[in-house]
Amino acid sequence: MKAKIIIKYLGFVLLFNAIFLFISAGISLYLHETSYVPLLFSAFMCTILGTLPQIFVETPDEVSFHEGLSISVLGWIITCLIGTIPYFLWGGEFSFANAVFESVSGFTTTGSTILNDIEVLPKGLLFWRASTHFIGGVGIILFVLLILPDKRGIQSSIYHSEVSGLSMMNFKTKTKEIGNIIVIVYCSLVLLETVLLKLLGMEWFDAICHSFATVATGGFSTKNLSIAYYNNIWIEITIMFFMLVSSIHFGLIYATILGKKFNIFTSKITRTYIIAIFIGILLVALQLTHEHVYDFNNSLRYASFQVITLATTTGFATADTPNWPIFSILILIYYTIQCGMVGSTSGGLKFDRVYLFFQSLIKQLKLAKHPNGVYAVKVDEITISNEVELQTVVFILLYILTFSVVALLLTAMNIDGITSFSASIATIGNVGPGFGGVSSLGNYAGLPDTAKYLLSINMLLGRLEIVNVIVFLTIITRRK
Amino acid sequence: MLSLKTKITFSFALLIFMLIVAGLMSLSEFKKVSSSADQIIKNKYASIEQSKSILESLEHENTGLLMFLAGNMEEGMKIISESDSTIQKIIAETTASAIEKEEKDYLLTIDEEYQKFHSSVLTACRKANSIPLDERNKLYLTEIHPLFSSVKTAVDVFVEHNQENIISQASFVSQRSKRAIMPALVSIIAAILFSIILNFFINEYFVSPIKKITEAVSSFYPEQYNLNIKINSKDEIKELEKEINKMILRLQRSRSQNE
Repeated sequence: MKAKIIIKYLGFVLLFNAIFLFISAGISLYLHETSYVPLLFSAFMCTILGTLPQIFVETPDEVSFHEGLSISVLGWIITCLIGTIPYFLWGGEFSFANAVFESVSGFTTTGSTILNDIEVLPKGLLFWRASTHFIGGVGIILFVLLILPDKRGIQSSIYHSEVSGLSMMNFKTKTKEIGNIIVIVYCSLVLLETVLLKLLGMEWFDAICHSFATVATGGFSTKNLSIAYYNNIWIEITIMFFMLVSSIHFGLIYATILGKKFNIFTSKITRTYIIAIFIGILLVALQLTHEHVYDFNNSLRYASFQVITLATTTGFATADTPNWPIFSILILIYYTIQCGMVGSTSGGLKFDRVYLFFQSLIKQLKLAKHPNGVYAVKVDEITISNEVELQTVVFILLYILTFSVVALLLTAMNIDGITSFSASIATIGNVGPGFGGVSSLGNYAGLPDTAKYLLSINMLLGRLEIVNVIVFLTIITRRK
Repeated sequence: MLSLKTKITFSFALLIFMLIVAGLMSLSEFKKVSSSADQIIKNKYASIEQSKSILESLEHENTGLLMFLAGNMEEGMKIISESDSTIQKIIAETTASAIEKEEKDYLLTIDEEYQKFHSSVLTACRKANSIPLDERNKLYLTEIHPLFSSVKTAVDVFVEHNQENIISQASFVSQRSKRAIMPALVSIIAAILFSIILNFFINEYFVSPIKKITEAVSSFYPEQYNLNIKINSKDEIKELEKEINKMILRLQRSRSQNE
């Protein structure tokens, strides 16, 4: 493993961040805001530190799997640390712990915030906050790979470290093209949503920031009341549509647009995912109506938005869900655990793994009944190997173990049970809002600094899919 | 590929540029902080001083009225008109130099209260000739003194506002100072990081290859046809390795020709 190769690619990561920092500083400068110094300063720091490796290190002929994995993991960590600087330098509510939390939350597209008053932030800083979602949505590494020339499969080895193997199955194309497809679909969705939100009455600035947050399935809003601020059914419907689309495999969206045979409508797993969400909406809406929380129309409206926003790991809000009946809350917690589909911008466990787990369970039950039978697990006509099945089960167990340990540690900091449990699930799943003290219209400001650092690590673990971090740590310790 | 000299020059240029940027940003923020602190202190201090002058002139005007009512009319009237022009002047000057809208509102209230007081003073002066002394005292206590107190209260509120403002501005200035010092602190950390990376590259691209060449030359034995080392860079050190290898080859050829 060559450190200089890793440093070179980390330099690219810094330079890519610098582009968005310069844009944000430009906005601040144009509007004569106080945030232009922190933003411009951070942009210069990124440019200088990112340029140094480019002077010395030549583009390598090949990148090994270990180097690719290190670039991916360290790239995320460095990006999150760089994102902290403008917040911390600006001050206000941003202590160092708060700045780290906000930055990690942005880049991992979690959307949890420590801000009590979002609207007091200068627009330049708000744009940087939204940009962290945009950059983190498909992953900064992917953007970097897209602008670099491909040399003997370098992209492939880094790409395999960045994107889960499970998501590669639905791409009916070469690795090299996958990155292009993801970025094309991603940018097109952002562009389309921005225009629609503007037409529905949002300001250009808010439309761009909300589109970044929706398509990246992040959840940072420019308003304290999130989407509830607009109280506009058409804005809610538009955002719901884009949240749902962004949580579906981008390869399938691309195939659907191109009119290919294997698309969203013919994919069984996608159909199941959408049906699962609609069942959730119906159950929550019926209970809200039955318990007289709202009339049926409003129950359907708020249930649709809240179920979709949590199931897609976005985390916007139109209602304060902790006031809802416990059955509805439990359904919402289930969707917080389930998350979106692989190959999308959503983080966490992913629906495909849950689906695979149940398929595997059915297979095991059949085997118990007919021990000599031959059964295979299939996802969209692709036969899943026993190895992938095992990996999925191991991942689910690791996921449960991680969020349970984090929840336990939070309770040790005197945080109540529901807040600890939901904050842990919401951050590892990159969802954002939880219940209790960290509800949909609330924030994470009240948590102690240690809890904020712990949850920041949890968010990164969720985004990097835990296993990658463990492998990376074993590589480092083995080297030592 | 860049030459060694260019790489090192470029790296140090980047480091210097980073420190200059950080220094300039810190300086510019400090300049803003000091000028805003200076402006705030001067402005608020001046307002407090002018408020004291208003109170002083108000007391004078009140004394002038009491003198007028006591029978010293000429002297009393002189003091009243002098105090009035002083107060009017101070209010106008303070209003013109006020920065905040809130400050202007306070001054407007003082002006309104003072106008009520002053017109009641003039009315009392006109009535004074036609009423006895005890009636004049009653007139002062029932009609003029409450208005005098109202003006004093309005001025006191204004002074209090300015004092509170100084305290709140002090905490704002302290926050801005922290913000001003941060670019310098972050750039120190970044410079350390930069130096570590630069040190790594210098070691990787200069020191290590030179060591390799030195070791290869020192362990060179006559039968060898090259140094048997691998230099990955494309700079002057690679050139050095190539030239040494060429030299070895020339030496070997001349030796075999001699033999």
